[in-house]
Amino acid sequence: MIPEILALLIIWSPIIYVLGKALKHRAGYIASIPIWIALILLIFIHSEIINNGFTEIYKWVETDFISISFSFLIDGINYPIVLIILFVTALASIYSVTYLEHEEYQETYFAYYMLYVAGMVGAALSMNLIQFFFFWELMLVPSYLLIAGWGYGDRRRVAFKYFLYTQLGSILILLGILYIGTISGSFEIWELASIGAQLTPQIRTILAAIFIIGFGVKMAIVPLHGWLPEAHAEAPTPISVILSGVMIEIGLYALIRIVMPISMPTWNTPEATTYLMILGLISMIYGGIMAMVQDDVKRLLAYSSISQMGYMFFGVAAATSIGIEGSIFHVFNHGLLKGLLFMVAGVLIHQVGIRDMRKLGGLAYKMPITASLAVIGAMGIAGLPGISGFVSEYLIFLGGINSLSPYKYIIIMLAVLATVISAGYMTMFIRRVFFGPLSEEIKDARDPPPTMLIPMALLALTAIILGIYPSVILRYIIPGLSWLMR
Amino acid sequence: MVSIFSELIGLPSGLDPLVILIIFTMITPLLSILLRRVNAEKYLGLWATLGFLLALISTFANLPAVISSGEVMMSVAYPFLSSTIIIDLTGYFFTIIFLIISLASALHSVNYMERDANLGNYFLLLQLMTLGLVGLTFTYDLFTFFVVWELMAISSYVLVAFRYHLDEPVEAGVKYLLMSGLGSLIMLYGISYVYGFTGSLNGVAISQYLSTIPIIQLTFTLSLLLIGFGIKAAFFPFWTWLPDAHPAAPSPISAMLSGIVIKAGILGIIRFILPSAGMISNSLGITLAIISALTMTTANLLALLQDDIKRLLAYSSITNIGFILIGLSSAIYGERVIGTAAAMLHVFTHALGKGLAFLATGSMIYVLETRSIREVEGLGRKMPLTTATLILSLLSLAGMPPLPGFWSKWFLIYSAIKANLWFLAILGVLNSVLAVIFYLWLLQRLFFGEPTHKVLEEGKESPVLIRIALIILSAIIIIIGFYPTPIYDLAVKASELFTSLI
Repeated sequence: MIPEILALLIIWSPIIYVLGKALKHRAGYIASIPIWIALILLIFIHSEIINNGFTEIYKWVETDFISISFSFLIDGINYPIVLIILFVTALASIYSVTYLEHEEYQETYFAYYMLYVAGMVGAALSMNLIQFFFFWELMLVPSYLLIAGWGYGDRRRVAFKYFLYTQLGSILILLGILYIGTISGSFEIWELASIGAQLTPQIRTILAAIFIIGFGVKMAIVPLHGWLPEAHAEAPTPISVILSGVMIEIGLYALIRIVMPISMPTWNTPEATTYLMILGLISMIYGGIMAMVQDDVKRLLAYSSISQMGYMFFGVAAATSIGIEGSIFHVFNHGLLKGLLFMVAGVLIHQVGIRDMRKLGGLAYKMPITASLAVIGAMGIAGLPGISGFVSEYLIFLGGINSLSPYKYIIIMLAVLATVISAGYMTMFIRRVFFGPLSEEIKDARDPPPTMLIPMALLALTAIILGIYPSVILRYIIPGLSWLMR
Repeated sequence: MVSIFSELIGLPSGLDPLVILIIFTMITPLLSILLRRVNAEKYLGLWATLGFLLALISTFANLPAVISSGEVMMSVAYPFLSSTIIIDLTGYFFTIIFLIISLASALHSVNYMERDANLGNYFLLLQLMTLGLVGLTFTYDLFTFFVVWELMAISSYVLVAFRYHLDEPVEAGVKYLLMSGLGSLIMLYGISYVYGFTGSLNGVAISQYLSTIPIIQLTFTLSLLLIGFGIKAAFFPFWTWLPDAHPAAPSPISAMLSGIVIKAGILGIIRFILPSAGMISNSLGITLAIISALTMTTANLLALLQDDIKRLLAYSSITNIGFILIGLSSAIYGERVIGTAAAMLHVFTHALGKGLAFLATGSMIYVLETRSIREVEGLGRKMPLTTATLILSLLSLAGMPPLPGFWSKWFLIYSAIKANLWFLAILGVLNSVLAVIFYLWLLQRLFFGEPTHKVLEEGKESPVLIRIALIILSAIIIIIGFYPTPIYDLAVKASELFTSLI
């Protein structure tokens, strides 16, 4: 079933290119069709995932000396992640319809868009390291082209920087993957735990460090975050939604799926958890403080993404099942909430034409629906109970308390402090954009058409439902973790 | 149908591709006399394409038999020399890629060369060059190898200087002739040493005898052969002719030169040097690794400075020869099968990528008559197919999935790690990032740059045959990108069979 889904997404790319010439921006509706189909198909198999996970194995490259399978597994770890990828990309493509109406070459945009989605879905489901890397790189090229072609500001330089950072990270990942392949002769992710058990502690540490740096570039862990603020701020907004909402989280998923099994005996020690949790903490606080001093709406959200990635990394770094559970759930919630907030920023760009918060203000009276949705998103990121972000942040901190680190109480105290910073920059964002005096030049602003409002409303609704019933998602994650923690 | 020819003259059907090429090439001069009367010489390109297509079909038709029977060797004996013909999977692997690129180039030439005179000679030379290349894949003794090698080399000198009324091609052609001729001489010198030491030129025999002779003699002999092959393949520091010759040639010929002619040197190394290294394997492996590192790094850095798009692609060819050498040095350093397979795979994917890149560039030059990147910015607006195929080929060369370059590049790095050549693996990935930089830089200017006046005024899609050639290669690239299994299978099997032969 999964290869068919991927094939559908990839074949849809030339189809949308041909259709898009006539349909122009309305091609976005057509582009979302296979994504909805994939989402529905995946929801149908939800009962299998709780039990054993859904597995498909095919042959891809099969010779005497090298074999690469084309295999997929959906279990509790990646089920929420693939659901959020599909949900956010489907909504973002509908959102693109209005957003792109004045742009050129919409058919090319949607053709790249489909490849981008296929790359992300493939990377999140692959169970072979080479196959994973194949999809991991597949998502890079279209996203680069999307930023360079339809972005803002100095978009070509920004896209170039994004590509180079990511590519340098990919080198380390590739070297790590190939090293695993040479020592074990196998690229299967299923066997990573047993391969890891045979390594000496030094090699395991080096391998883990290489992978954490490699994936850390995509996750934008400070100090590897240099590309993110610019790329996420200058990308076309529907792409910012995807970049911040779901793409960088795939790096985190890879950390859980690939790096943890192979380095668990080294990772789950007092020293390693302390260092890694501090790394997560630095990202949280740095991203939060930087977000506070931004004037540009999208740059604020981009720095907020760095901070939120810090939370997710923190949960994984603690190496406890409850922390990882929280991180995976936070991936889902961050996709919803940050996606929502970037869409709000897109509404500002599309309806008002201004992204500088110094010139904005008082918009709550002019665009009430957008304002209320923005408040939901901002409060979710700030960790207000009742919205799903609260549950996952709570689980992450609980994971930190359960960790082996001797300094965990100090670290957790500082992490809670970082939550205060999140609340700070989010309330500032709301106040500066939606309240205060309304300036002359924006007094004609009003709510966007339903094609933009409905995707935002759906994201906000899901976030609220999950805030009240988090077990809708959590019940899948827990059985999946037994695979990792055994 | 086609095997009838071979059987009539008593040859095994495995030789069909060669026989078909010989027949088609022999008829070309006669046809050209006829076609010159009606002023339609350019359609000789279709005749050449047909020949390549039939040869390709017969190659695929014979492939199962060749896989199952391993290798067939035949000797044609004279009193002092014997000519050995080999039909094996390694040769077939190279034949397939040689024919694919020749086919696309011949088709492309029909439109691309229509403004030139003497097309009868052009297509005859093109066919002779392919005949030489395909001939190389079937020979397994140094004497025949040298003769066929010269057939290919001499045709290529003339083709580089085909537009002899212009300065640049003649200058580049002469430089190419001098360097490559020197290479051939050194190779001949090496061959004479081989004969002196072993008393035979047959590949199997020399690989057995050579490994028993003293190290000094062995080193000297193999070095001569390596330099001979290396000048053709453009290793560091012998590559100086390539950035002049490849851009100066007509674009379809550049595609063949960069795509497949330089690979003849790689074939020579696989056939004659790898099996004979014996006791000096380790030192030769390190030497090749160092050459590989220097080749890719210097060429990559120089490529960053180019404005001439064909020169940039020519430097990128040198870089990729460096990549192929990663595989060969790991092969000689211990991982014989995987290293050779990786090198062969990269020969295949690079030929596809570079062939397409030069043909797409040719399509651009045909319309705009310029090679300066500065003058063709924003080309994507006016020539979408040309630009898209160029980008596709560049991304494949950069090793981006889902394109073939990805499949060969990781395999090369894998072979280097497996052979414990860590510095080469790390340099390889760093260089591939450096390569990505200049491909990306080119891509940005072509796709996202503001169109220049020249592009806006003169830009339009090129004629149909050029477009067909581009589409054929792009389709092959995309198919192999998603489903690389057959190519992997062939490369690994070929290198396994050839290794077990020795």
